[in-house]
Amino acid sequence: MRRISFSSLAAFALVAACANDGAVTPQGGGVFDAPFTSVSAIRTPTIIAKAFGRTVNNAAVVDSVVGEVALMKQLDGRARYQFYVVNGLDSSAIPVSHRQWIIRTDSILDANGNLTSPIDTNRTAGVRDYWRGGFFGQKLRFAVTLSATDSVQQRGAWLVLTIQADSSLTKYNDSTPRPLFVRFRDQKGTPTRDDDAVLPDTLRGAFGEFRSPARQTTFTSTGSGSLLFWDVVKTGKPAFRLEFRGLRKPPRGYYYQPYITDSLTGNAYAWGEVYDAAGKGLLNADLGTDSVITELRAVQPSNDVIGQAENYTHVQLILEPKTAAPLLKTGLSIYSQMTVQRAPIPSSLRAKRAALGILNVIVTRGTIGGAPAPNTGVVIQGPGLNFNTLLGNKNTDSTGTARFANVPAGELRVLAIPFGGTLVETRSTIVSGQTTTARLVVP
Amino acid sequence: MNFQNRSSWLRRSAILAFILGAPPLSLIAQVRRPDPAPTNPRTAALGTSKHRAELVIGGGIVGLNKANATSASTPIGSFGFRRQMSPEWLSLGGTLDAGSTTVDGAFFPYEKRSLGDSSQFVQVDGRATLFAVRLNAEAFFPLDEAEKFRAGIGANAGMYAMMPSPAGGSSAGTFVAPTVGGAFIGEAALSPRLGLFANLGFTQFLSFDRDKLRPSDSALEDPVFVTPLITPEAAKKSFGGTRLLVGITYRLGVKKMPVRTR
Repeated sequence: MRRISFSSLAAFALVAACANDGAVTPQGGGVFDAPFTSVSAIRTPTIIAKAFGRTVNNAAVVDSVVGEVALMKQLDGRARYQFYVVNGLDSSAIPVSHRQWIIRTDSILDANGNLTSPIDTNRTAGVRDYWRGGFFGQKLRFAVTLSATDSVQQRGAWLVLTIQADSSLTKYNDSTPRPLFVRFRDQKGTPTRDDDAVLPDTLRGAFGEFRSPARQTTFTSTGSGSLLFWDVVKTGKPAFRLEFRGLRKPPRGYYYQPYITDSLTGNAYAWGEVYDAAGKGLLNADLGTDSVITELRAVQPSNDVIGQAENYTHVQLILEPKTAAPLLKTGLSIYSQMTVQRAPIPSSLRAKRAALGILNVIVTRGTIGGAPAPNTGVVIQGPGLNFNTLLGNKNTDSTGTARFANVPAGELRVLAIPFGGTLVETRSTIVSGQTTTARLVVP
Repeated sequence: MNFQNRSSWLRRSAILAFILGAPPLSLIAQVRRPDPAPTNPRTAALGTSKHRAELVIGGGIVGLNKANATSASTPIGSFGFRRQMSPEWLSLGGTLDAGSTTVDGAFFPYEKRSLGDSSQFVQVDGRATLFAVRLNAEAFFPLDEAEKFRAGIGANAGMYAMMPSPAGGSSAGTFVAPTVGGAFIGEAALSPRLGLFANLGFTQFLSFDRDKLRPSDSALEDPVFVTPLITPEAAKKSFGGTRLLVGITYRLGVKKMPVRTR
């Protein structure tokens, strides 16, 4: 009897012991990951200003504030940037118009094929209430003239650039994005005008959130994250995701947008919609009360448009204005420059990229096969930014040849700029690992 | 990686098996003394006690729930004891069921395992051992005059334990929860000691905790690509399953009667 009992228990114990660890089944193809690193010098929009004034009856009067605004992305639809002058004592604010000059600071080529950064002050748009923003080679030079008789402007201490989602219904309240601000008057905290001081120097403003004259935050990057590619269906076009913890809340009016970019070609795609650990969208994280986003995630399933991940160099998390959100999975020529976090494509994945090629550009005079054209500027541009991404520039040698190594496979734009002559161009397709020759004829 | 739960699995299984086996063993110890001699001449001729005590040993299947990552039908072994009470149609006893079921790793986050200069997502399947101990109250009614065939109904309540292997992560591991049920029983006597039985029952598993069965290591889980290929069905906290057992009964306390010769 006892034997039966113990035998039965032993059998049960044997059943338990036979419960081995389970089978392991691989899912999908390879997985590649890389950490994100914070960008130390974020290219945030900037504002500099200088106040001009005089003293009237012992009181400092500001006549005008002039300055420059840079890196403000062009807004969509009716959205516009608008200046407000804010009273430093009671926070009252009024919109102000400004005289505009558009300054180009992007690099272009001179007649010798050399890069230059011209300043074009001829494009004055007159006095305007709004500015739409510009691509990132543009600056706005502004001049705000203040009225000496206006009570607010007499007390005006801050110049604040707001984002108006609808310029036909402008407002200045707690929900109005106020990303750029600069203080030009020190009111000493007293209503007495006699002790006010107009700050004499060139004033450097800040990018962040102007809540009141007593409370502003300047945007800085925090947090850490990881990037992961997973070739789920083994097509070579992996799904990918990013995950961040502890990111700083974006300034009001902005949100975080993931991008995949290729520095070799200039190709850039925005992808994915950011959400938190509970799956809630973070497009409006700027309106939240917490100063830090605990968890931010985005996923991009395998995608034919973006294609193979090895053809890119980085994944970036970029601050974008909500009123100028980029189209997703569409090749972009203009996108915000405010990269907050950046991760390189993992090296084991990048190694799969097709070998780079070599391009020989032969420039002749008059006709193909004609006399070589030495010292001719040659520029090659990648497909990004609508074939405006600079990949390299050289002058031709004595044989009229300019040689470019490490050129990515695919179509390129090739320009030849003879001294004193007009530019000629052609397209050339680089084959992986091979040398390609492009021929251009200049007068 | 967290291997601690995996390496201690066998030891915990054996300990739990013996702990769960203790109640029936103690019941067995109490019935070593033979029952008083029967007064009924017919039963006396068979050498059986009036209040008979029996061991019940069998095997069969019990229904679990696929939404809980287990196979829907799990083979089990069953070992029990029962004692006839007064009135005679009532029996009380205890049963220990044990079985092993698969745990479908698709219901749980994948593990990201290093593979040279890259990684690989893997689905980790597992197994879980089921132990169920229950106390039974059964009513039997003879179907013939010689009482060779009996039918009965029973009710039971007890506890069950699921012991996963591997148990991935700190939140996974054995859990114990209550169970209740009922049964229809049919029996046929083969000899004064041995009989056959069939038991068709219903078991309600309560407070089932699917997350405890997780076979994949939570330390290797990706926070975003968790189980992207399927959306796991929601777990069932409480579910019912049928239980079918067949086996033998062994009557205790049957004396060998000397055959009289004239």
